[in-house]
Amino acid sequence: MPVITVREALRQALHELMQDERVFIIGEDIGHYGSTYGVTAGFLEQYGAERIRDAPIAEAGIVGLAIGAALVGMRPIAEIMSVNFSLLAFDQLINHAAKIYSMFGGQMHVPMVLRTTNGWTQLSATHSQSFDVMFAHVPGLKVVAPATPYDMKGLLRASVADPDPVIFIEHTLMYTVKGEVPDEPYEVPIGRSALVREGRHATVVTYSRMVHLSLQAAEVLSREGIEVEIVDLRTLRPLDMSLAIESFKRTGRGVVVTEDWQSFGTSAEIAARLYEYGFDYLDAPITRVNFREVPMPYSKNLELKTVITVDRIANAIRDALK
Amino acid sequence: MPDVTMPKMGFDMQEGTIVRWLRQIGDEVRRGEPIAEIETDKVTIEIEAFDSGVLREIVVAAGQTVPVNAVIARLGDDAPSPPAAPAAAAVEQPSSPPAAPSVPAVAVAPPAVDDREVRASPLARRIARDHGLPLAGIAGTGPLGRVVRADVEQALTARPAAAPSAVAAPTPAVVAAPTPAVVAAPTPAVVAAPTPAVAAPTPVAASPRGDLVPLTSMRRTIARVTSQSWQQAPHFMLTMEVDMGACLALRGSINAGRPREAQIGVNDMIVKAAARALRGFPMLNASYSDAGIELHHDVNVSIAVALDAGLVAPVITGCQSRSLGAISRESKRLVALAREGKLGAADLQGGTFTVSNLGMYGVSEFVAIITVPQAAILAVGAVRRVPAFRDDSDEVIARQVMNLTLSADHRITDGAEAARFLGEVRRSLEQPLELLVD
Repeated sequence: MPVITVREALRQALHELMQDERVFIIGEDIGHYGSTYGVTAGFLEQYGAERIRDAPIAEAGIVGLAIGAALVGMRPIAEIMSVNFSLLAFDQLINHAAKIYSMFGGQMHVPMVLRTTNGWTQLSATHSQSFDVMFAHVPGLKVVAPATPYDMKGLLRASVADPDPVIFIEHTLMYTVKGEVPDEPYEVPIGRSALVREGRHATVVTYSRMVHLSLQAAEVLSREGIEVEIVDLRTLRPLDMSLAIESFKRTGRGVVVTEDWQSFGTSAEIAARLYEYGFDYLDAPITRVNFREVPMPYSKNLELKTVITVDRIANAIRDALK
Repeated sequence: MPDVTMPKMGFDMQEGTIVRWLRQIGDEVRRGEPIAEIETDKVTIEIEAFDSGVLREIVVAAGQTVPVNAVIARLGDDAPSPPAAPAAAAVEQPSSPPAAPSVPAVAVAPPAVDDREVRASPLARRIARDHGLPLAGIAGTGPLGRVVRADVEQALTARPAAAPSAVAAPTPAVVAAPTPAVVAAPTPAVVAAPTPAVAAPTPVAASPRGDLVPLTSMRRTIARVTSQSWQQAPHFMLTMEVDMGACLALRGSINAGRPREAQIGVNDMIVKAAARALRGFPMLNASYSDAGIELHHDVNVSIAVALDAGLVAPVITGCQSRSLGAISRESKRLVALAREGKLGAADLQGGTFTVSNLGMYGVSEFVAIITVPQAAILAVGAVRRVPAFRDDSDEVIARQVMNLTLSADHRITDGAEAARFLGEVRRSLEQPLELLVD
């Protein structure tokens, strides 16, 4: 099976999807510039300006347009280059995209996909945030955050095929991550988690880029005789905790790793589910690894103190095993 | 509000049990006044308030065990506001706590420990519940002493041996058997005993077979120390008969002119004789470690004192340079403190040899368990009047004899050396004037 990057996996998925006449892509700098992370490089030349639409810097407009197009039968893929800019489109996403199906008695679906990115690396406080929890909080949205090239391709296809609005969250530090991806089209179903490592001492529940860091931490701990099991949630809404809880019932120790602030964050929801459904199996408090709770510093040294490292994950697992 | 915390009463104290509160909620407390009586694994002692104020809240009820530095009560300023939510335990306190209890404080049985009050993980709780195992007796190794799965699993593994005596104890054979019997045939007795807790997943406390008595700190310590010694120190035992006639005669003449409270006891003479002999046998006044055998300069003799709730062994320090009278006085002081439950941590540390005497109970001889890391313990039996041959003829005469049984750690000393030591103890008891000259 070919080994390709996340970027290449997304490009493959988009090329396949563009075979469907209903699909078009809209976003800032996605056409002439080929998109900030190069995912749609060459698409404008191949598919033309009607289906690869460069948008003005007007996020609410981009999302509003996508919603309207979806309502009349199109399959829009809107791109907001950084999730930080999606704040400008929140009213469209939350009060319109997420509500139209329910508020109009199920007469209309909104089959749009919003591709966007989390990420940091000296982008400073306003451009280094993660709002997974804000999307995942809202009934009516689906939220997908894959970690591997295989899941990126399969879940992007499933997202476009889905009748409801899907927030598809990528990560700026993951585009070069490599993995096996079949050439042919396939879908990975939304709302299914995956067991990515087996172990018996502790259960790590995570998603997106933190899957990779958790795997590295697991290798470090393996040399100490600690074997952790890792569950990649892949989708935040609907949230599939079945594998995580099953694993937790075997280990009795849980660690949740999410790349956002801890308070009221995704890790809080995940830990709460472990407590609720795994209570009788709990052998220690669940530990969590998150961003330090400060606006992201620009200074490189301070930034590295704020974000999650392999060491911090390994230490949290050791703590959970005390 | 100043907090009253569980004090650290010795370098190795990790937790303490509130025996009882001496003050009630609403009482004014002055700095330095006793506020509660606590029990550590070594001692029962009154603790004093470090601040003045009104006792506002009793956080830890009598009978509960908490780690050192845990908040056990809170003091408020002396404004007479209504007490905040009195703990249930405070209500149970007697209205006028006696200043000096005549009963040994350790004898106060704490209420049965509810499993819900044990810090344990839900998983540990579930496994314990499924096996009908009470959590109260399990030592937690998790943070803050939390009982975790591994602790319960370990307790379950250890249970087949522990259950009969600790839980139902319907077979007196196991409980009453002296140590040699248990050693000689431990398996039949233990295996024969039913282990109801294993078979029936009902809480043992509710079993119609008997009551579950929670472990006191003292019981726990005795259990730990004796089993550790029995498992780690290879004991060998020697018994020797001593003619106590001269010794008793000497004691009689010494005591004839002395007030009752200053009378010399037989045990004092045995301690003195042992201390004298130990000076010539450094290996019996020593401690074993993997690094080597430590020979102690001082002869510090622990004397075993039976209490209602168990056993303590306070230490008579510097016996190598104490006169018989000085040993006797120190012994009386320590025994009195022990019976009042007021021994301090310092009274219990540093022993290098132990004398244990069950003669007053009519025991003619017995085997004692070494107090590791000491090298040996001397078990003293009763003085008995027996018919014996006179040394130089076949004439039968009455003699007053006593058996001494030495248990010694074979890692440190051997049979012949221990026998010579025991012979030296006998010699000075049979020629007791030596006990007076140094």
